[in-house]
Amino acid sequence: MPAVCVALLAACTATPEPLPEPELREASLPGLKDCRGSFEATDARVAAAGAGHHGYQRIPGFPYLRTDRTLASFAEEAQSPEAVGTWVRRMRAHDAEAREYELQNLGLQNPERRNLHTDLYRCGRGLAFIDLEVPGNLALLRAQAGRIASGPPPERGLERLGEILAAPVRAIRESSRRASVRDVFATPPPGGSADVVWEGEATRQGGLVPLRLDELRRDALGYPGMIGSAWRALAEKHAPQLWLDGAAAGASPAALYWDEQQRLRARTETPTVYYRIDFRRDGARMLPEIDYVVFLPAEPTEAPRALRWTVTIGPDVEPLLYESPHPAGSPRRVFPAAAGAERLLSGSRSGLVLHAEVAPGERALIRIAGETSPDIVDVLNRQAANPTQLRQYRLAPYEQLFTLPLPQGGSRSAVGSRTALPVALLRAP
Amino acid sequence: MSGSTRMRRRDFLARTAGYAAGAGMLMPLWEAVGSNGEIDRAYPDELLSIEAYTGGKISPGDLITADNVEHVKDLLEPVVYEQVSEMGRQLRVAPTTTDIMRLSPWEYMQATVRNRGQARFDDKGNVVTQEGRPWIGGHPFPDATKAIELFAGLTMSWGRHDASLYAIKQYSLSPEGSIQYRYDLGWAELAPVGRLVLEPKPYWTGHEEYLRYQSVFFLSPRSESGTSFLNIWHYDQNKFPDLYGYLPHFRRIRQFPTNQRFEPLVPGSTLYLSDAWAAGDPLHTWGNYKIIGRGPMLAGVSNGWNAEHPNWEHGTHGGPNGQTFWDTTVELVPEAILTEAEPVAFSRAPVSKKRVWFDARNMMPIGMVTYDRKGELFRSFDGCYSLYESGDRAFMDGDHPYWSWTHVHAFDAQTRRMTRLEQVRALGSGLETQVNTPNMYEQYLTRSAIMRLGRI
Repeated sequence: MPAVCVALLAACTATPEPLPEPELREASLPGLKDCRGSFEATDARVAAAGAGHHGYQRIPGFPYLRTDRTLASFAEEAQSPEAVGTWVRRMRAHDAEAREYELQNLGLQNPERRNLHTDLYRCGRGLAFIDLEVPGNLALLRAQAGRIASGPPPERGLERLGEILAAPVRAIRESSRRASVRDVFATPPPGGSADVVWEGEATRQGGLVPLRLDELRRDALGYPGMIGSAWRALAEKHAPQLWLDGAAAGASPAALYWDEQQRLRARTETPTVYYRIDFRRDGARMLPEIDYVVFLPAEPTEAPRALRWTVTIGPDVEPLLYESPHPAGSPRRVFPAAAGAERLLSGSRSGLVLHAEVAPGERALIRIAGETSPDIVDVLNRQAANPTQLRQYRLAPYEQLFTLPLPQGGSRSAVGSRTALPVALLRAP
Repeated sequence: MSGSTRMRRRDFLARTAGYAAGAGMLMPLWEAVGSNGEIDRAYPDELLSIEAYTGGKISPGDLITADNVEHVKDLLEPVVYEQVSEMGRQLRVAPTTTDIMRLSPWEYMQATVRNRGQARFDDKGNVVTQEGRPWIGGHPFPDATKAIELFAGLTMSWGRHDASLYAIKQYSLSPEGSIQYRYDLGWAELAPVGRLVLEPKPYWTGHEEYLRYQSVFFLSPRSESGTSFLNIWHYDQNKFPDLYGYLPHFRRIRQFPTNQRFEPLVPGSTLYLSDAWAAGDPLHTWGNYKIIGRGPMLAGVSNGWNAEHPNWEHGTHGGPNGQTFWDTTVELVPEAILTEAEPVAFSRAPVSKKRVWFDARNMMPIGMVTYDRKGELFRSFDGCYSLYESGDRAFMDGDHPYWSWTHVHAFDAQTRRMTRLEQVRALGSGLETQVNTPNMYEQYLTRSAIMRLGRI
């Protein structure tokens, strides 16, 4: 029985007839003849315009699939037909998502944009079907994905710097476990301005957040599923409180926009923090991670300053781990929030382990200060800040930044090689 | 209406009235139905007459076009309004149906009344009898007050017959209004539980763990002929159906990932498995069900059967080439319940939510729109149901005229591609529409059946 039967088919007939060559089958399947050419032409247009999406990695030879490293890590584990099917479908969904941003940033308008996207999605479905029927193609896909899972991030950004620093950081990790980052970085004390604490907008549908992760439906790879409003409610629940102190005092979390000169700027009229849901593996278990990205206004000639704050959600739907890779060059700081976090700290995502003074059930308050570049200097509870003012910020999907409107019309991603924001602000795909 | 139909209608009314008097728990609508089988005592005149509602500007028999659609803008879902105002769609207006028995299969409505009050959700969220057994037929929550009750009733029985085989012609049109794909297909549904006509009933012995067997098979064009899919639905509405496909190019049956439900089955189509009957997925693979509004609506719930055509085929009009829309008759539905739900999915799923309008009289969906990941309007669905009775002509389902859907529009609002479907008497291959025929399972609803169909 061909290997492809084992991999993809649940109900192979006893003696499959020989399959025609892929080219013949492709030609015989309606609507697929021009598909590879469509992918090539579209990708060439995207590349020429510098509109490529950096959130996922392409897989050479499979233009209809994209992945991140977490999904790629299932390359060898996905063996059952259901698991392979789910793995490929997720990679197709990532490609479809990336193409949404790319086609919009090409300046295509509907219905042309949606028609092209629909055609490519249909093509991807058909090509995935026939390509992965061919013995050897699935093995090739596994090998390509395996390289992505084990390789470095595609952009030599600050994630890479974090890895380079990981070894010495690990050496001091134990000694600093109970220290606060204030001691390590010798950050100056608060500047004395009126203390303002920012918090995320009130949870609108908090009742949708499950009590335990194991209540959730999981797909064949173990990814948990929830309705969209519940993902949003989860992000609202764990949105950090921000204590802007020191050099950042008086600022507010800002929304990004392109100015007339196509420079990325931050405005504070609507205080905003961006969020994005992702996942990380804990052995066979998939844990949700929520990235919160805070932008602060800078001098008129400078790009906005940014901080990423990542919350890994544990089985009890409470924070298991906080992390913050700073784009300005500091190593990643990790703050275990609950028992069991330590085992997540192995491998390339390790960093400087610090103590978070947050009691279970409390929302983290991150104190942002720094003389020249705002940085996280502490992770505390609300009482530590004793704010004189409380203000609310809006939570916005980080995906909005992938198609940020231009003042003269059209859109452009705020994250990418030609823009001011380093790709490292995005999770390394 | 025939004499035999009137007789049975009296039987139904007597039973309904008994419930009204005995239990005293029926909603106002059902109290009105119980008194005389009509809904007219439940609603004021302006909700029973389009003429009264529009102050005489539109009357039964009129055609709604771009010229007068503003008078009924509030009665149309937004995409249909746009189709009329901008794309040349027209809607013929019929009087409001007040006879409840013309809005569902006879046996289904009888069972709804008979079994009222016997349904509950078990600890897994599945609809069961008070004794914890699978449901016994009819709508389990005729006086639904929650959206999940409306969707539960719809999910448990799509076509409201024990077994249906629909002969379907499907057309997929480009944004320029030309037909790009034509398909002849068969769609079969069979209920192993909640059976009302086919023996054994209410349960098919040995199949009680399943809710539905359903298949779709394409008979033409030649390039797609033989492509077949089989869904085996578990009674447990937390599980995705087992999905099998037979693709003639590969000459074998393949099992597909169970959650691959937001994908068109064939090229050109804007229909997904998830779209079927506005409840194409198991109940608990969607969530956050909620009612977000009630009000009158224009929808196709009668006069959709084209008895004038020997094969029941419908005329078309509108769009760039005059063939984008079915000729459609609508009536004023006095109370539509607007609901919303979200798919349980990973965090960036392609569909973020759907909105479904239910006709409060029979709790059938009369419109649906879906939204993309960004929350923008994505696709729109509207169709028409009908009693298959017109003058002295009727297509019978046992002792009563057949009741079913007649045609559907599935419109991608972003690409402006349209997929149209209609139920016809027969296809060129000889496949005929059937209802409650006893051998449907063996013929159309097993893995060997879809392989056999694929080799035709």
